[in-house]
Amino acid sequence: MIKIENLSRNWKEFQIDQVNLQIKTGEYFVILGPSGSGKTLLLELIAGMWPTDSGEIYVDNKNITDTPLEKRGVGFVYQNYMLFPHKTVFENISFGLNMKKVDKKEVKIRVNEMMKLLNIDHLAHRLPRTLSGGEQQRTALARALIINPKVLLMDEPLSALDRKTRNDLIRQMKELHQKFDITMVHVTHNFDEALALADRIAIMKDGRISQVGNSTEIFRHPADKFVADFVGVENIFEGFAKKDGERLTIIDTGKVFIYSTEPKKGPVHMTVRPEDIILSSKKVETSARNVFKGKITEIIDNGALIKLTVDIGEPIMVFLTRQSFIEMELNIGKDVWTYFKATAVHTF
Amino acid sequence: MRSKLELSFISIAFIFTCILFIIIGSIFLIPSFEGFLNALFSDEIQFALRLTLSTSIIAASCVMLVAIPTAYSLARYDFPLKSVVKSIIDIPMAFPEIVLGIAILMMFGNQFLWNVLQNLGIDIVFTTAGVIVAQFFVAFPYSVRILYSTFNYVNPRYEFVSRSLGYGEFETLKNITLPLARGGIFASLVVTIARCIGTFGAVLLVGGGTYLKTETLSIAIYYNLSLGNIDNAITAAIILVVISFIAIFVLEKYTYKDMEGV
Repeated sequence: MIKIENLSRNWKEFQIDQVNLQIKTGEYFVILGPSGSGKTLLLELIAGMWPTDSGEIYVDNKNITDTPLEKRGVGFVYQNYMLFPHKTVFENISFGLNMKKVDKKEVKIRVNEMMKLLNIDHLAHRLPRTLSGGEQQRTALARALIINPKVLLMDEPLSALDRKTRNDLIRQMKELHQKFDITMVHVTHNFDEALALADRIAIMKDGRISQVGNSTEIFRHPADKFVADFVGVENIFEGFAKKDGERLTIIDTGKVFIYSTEPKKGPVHMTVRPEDIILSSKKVETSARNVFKGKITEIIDNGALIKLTVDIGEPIMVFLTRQSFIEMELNIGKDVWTYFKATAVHTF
Repeated sequence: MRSKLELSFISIAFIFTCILFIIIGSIFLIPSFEGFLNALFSDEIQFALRLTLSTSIIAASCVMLVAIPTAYSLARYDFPLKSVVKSIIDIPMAFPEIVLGIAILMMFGNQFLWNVLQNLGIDIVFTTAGVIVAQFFVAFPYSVRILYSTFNYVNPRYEFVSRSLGYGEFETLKNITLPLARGGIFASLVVTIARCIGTFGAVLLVGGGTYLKTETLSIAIYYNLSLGNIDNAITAAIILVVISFIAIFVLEKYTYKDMEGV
């Protein structure tokens, strides 16, 4: 387990501020945040590349805050690979084993096995500059994994790759995670990457952790507007909340009143996911608390999914399947009814 | 079609390169071939050549041994008075070499230091050791300058990765940083040797320029010219020009190609 307590460091231009995290053994943990949020620096602090100003880092209950980088048992993979340009693929991968004084024959066997596992065995004698991005990243992964680190830290490992290579590597990284059974900490700004790989996600902004949870928690219950915006949550509105009866909260956005079951008071943000909203051409009886008549203002055709914006006083986004869209004969300017339950409204 | 600006700039570069080439080339035309050979194999020029090469190699080696850690610490570490240290190292590049020479002479002429060195059996002033000391201090700032840029050019993340793979600081320096910086280190070495070979004022003041004792090639040019011995002076100059050409050729051929991909 990795435990980070009140970790801070000030670089003058930027600071990591009071970071607290707990990453379970064997977990695939993703730190998600926009560029410049301090993800890479946090990862480098965990690896020991910079001294900390305050706070503690524990791996398996051992305090490694002041342990030199080479003694932490932490592997590191960079976005731009950082393969040693003067060494071949084989020499890059065997580099860590040479320091451990592993027998030359065994080095050869282990490097060959690792290259086969990552489908780069045909590249053994090539220099990094002659490799594609995907091949370089596989080499970097092999180089880090071969020394059997307790923790593998990866800084945007898929960001410089094309879509197909990225998808291939995502699949491969899942397999590697299971096979090596190690704790992986992966930093990215791409929410899809996090969804595909993460057991849990931490959202980072301005050197601080905004929220930690699994992907559903973060997507359904973003801790604040930044998290909601960043993970691509639609239908975020600002309003003033007050109690309405025993179990309900009513939020006044200034234009509409929306019911939620979450107890809140005062100024709030609220969100309702487009897939939780039902759309009909005529008014129907429903148990949903939130019922609004509106006009379609925008239709975006996303292939199988159609995204509609309906003006109910606030512009609200609704998803429809292509089939439903055709059957309902919808077009811009048409009047429709929208329904969503109070339990579907998340406030923060 | 080239623009007017492009044509004018290329013309300026071309014309002044030609003038420079004619200036350098002219020294090859002055002595007769026989006079050149006689001068080349004369005791004085042979001695000056041997002394210049041997002292330069020793001084350049010492410079590299000190300049590599100095430049590395300036490039990688934060420490108190770092900017002051950097400025002081750069100063000798800005003032005349002869000023550096007189400063070294004053330091080693200081009664206290003189006595200490005498007790240790070390003679610096007006000796071959003095020549080496002068060459060292003249070349040192140039060497540090080049190495500092070189180490800055090597991404420290290579070092981080190496250390995450179990290599300590020294092993990382040996296995990753120095091999990646080898182009710049080589450039620094060539420039250092060239500076050591070519230095005049500081070597004259500290070494004394004694005939057949501390007379380097540069000093030989000056002495022989002042005595009207043109053949010897020009021959010494030709040797220096040839050495410089070799240095520049080696620098261009091996250095920068080596830094690709770092």
